[in-house]
Amino acid sequence: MLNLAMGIGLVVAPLCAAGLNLAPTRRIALALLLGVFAGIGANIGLGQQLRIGLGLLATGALACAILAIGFERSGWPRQGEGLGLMPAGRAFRAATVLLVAAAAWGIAAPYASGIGSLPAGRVTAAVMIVAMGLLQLGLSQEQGAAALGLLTTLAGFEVFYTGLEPSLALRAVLAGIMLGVALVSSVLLEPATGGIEGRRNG
Amino acid sequence: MSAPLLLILLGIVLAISAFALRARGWIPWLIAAGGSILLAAVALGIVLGEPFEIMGIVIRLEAGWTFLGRSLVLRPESRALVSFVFISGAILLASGWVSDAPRRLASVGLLMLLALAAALMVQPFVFSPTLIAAAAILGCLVVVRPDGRGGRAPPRLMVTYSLGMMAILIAGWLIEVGGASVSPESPVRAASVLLALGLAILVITPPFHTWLTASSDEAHPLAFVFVAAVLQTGGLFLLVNSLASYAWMRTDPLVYAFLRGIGLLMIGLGGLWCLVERRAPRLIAYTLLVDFGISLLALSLATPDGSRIALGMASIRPISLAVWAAGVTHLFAAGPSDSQAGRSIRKVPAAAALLGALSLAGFPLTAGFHGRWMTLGNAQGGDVTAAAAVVFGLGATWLAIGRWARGLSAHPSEDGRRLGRARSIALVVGSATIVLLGLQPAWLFGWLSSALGSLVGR
Repeated sequence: MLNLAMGIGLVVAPLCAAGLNLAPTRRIALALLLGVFAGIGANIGLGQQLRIGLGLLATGALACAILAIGFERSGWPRQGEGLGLMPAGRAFRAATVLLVAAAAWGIAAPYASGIGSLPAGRVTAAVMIVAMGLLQLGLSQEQGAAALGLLTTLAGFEVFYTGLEPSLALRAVLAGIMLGVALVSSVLLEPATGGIEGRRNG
Repeated sequence: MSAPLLLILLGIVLAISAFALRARGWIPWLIAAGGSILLAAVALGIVLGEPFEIMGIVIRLEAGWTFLGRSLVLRPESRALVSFVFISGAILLASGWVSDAPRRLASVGLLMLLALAAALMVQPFVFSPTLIAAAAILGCLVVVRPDGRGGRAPPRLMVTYSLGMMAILIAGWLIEVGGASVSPESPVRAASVLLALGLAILVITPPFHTWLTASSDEAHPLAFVFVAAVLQTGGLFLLVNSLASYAWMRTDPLVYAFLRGIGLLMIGLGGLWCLVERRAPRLIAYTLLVDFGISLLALSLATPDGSRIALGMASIRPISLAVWAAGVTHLFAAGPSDSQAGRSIRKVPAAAALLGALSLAGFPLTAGFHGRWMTLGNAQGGDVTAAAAVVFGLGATWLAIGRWARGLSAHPSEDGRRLGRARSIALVVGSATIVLLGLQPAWLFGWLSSALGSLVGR
């Protein structure tokens, strides 16, 4: 049962990460980001240390909540709105996601069993989540998309790095980085008219 | 109580005060710049491990502070570096008032300096890139557009430094597992690639410099140069500290070949971009790249002199940048439109901006010249490529800044009385400092030798 839950976590997280690239609205994107953190939290919590898994889940939930506040203030912009130069068609993005996922799988799978004491499945999942996050970063330079992509990449990195370096202090610092990314992005997502600088200078 | 905890608490209190009083004219800048100097003095001068008395209260400060099983330690060799970070920041923050910088820079800037100081104190070293990345994420709050909205710079800065952090963390683990070596024969050869990638990001090597050009386009001049100078100094110090701490790294010729390679790349590309660029802020971004490249080239000499030159250049950079930013902000007199065409320029700010830019480009008789001259002197004879690169970098940046100055001279000028006496005096003092340090370089480089001797001498 435990193994099944861990396995589900490993499948759900990369799938949610891939879905982030196709999400039509920010609400769905945030739900998918939470899915990524829930998946990796379940896997690490049940397979390694429960407190690290719960910590990751809490970090993800907090980051999503902070980003939700930022998106709410900026009127929930859709994918590609603002500065982003998002390729138009969802079919194009779906094809890109499939290609990158296949490439990540192809690169990770042969070497996955040789990295530390990590299970091969976990390494492959980590590489795929990181690849999906990087894809999101490559597809848009808008602040909201960059935050979602970067948090996905950091989540994938945590899947991998927690197995190599399970130090609690490092977990705390990396959680701080993730929350910092969410908080700063949330502040910068504010509309110009209600922006902090505008208020202070005005 | 421990000294690192005292520094952090004091810094946070100062940052909160600067934030709370952000609407009070020059006060937040005084708190930020004065606070930075206070923190530098505490880091450098406080007595550790022995009781001392302040206003009748006996205090004993320890060098280390343990948090979640890891430590921040104010080691003898890192005290000067921590102090150096705060003084560099203080110079730039003092310019905040003169250059009418965004008010949040005072508090956010202090927090960035604290994160970098923590990066220099943290044990084990593997935590350093995470704290530098934290400083970069904070920096995203200030490299914003004038209306307070994020443009292209914040996401680029955030992403670049987070990726650099991940690369160095993985490299650190690989080195730990595979033995302390990154040589090609080692089973952890992949570590060298990741470490090189991470360090290249932290010292702002092209193509990881795109946030720099984006912030030069969008952000206030002082916000852009503060984040660039402070983060590059953090990356440089991580490098210098690593070289001083790890014998295997210090003795590996591949490490120095890598530093030399990225130094040459930065000078070459920065110089070429200077030649084709016409916009003043971008010109400074590319001149900064050349400056960073020359300091890395000096570091690649693998001698105490090389480290001294690199640190000397890092100490002069904030002065040049602070004077340039203060000058360029007030360059143009108020006009009927936002366009600069046909508007009058103010003489004092124009002179300050030009002197700051020339110092950054290493023009003779300015503060920035001596570092380049010493790099050139060390490279001559044995290393024709390095000497040629330095000469090219100097020529390209001088030419570009000369062209910018010629463009400015076409504008009508006014005496700048509307600028205010205090700001004019500050600009004159900044400009005079650049000239004075250009005439007496031994003051700064001599102090560096004694203050950072334990670090550069190894």
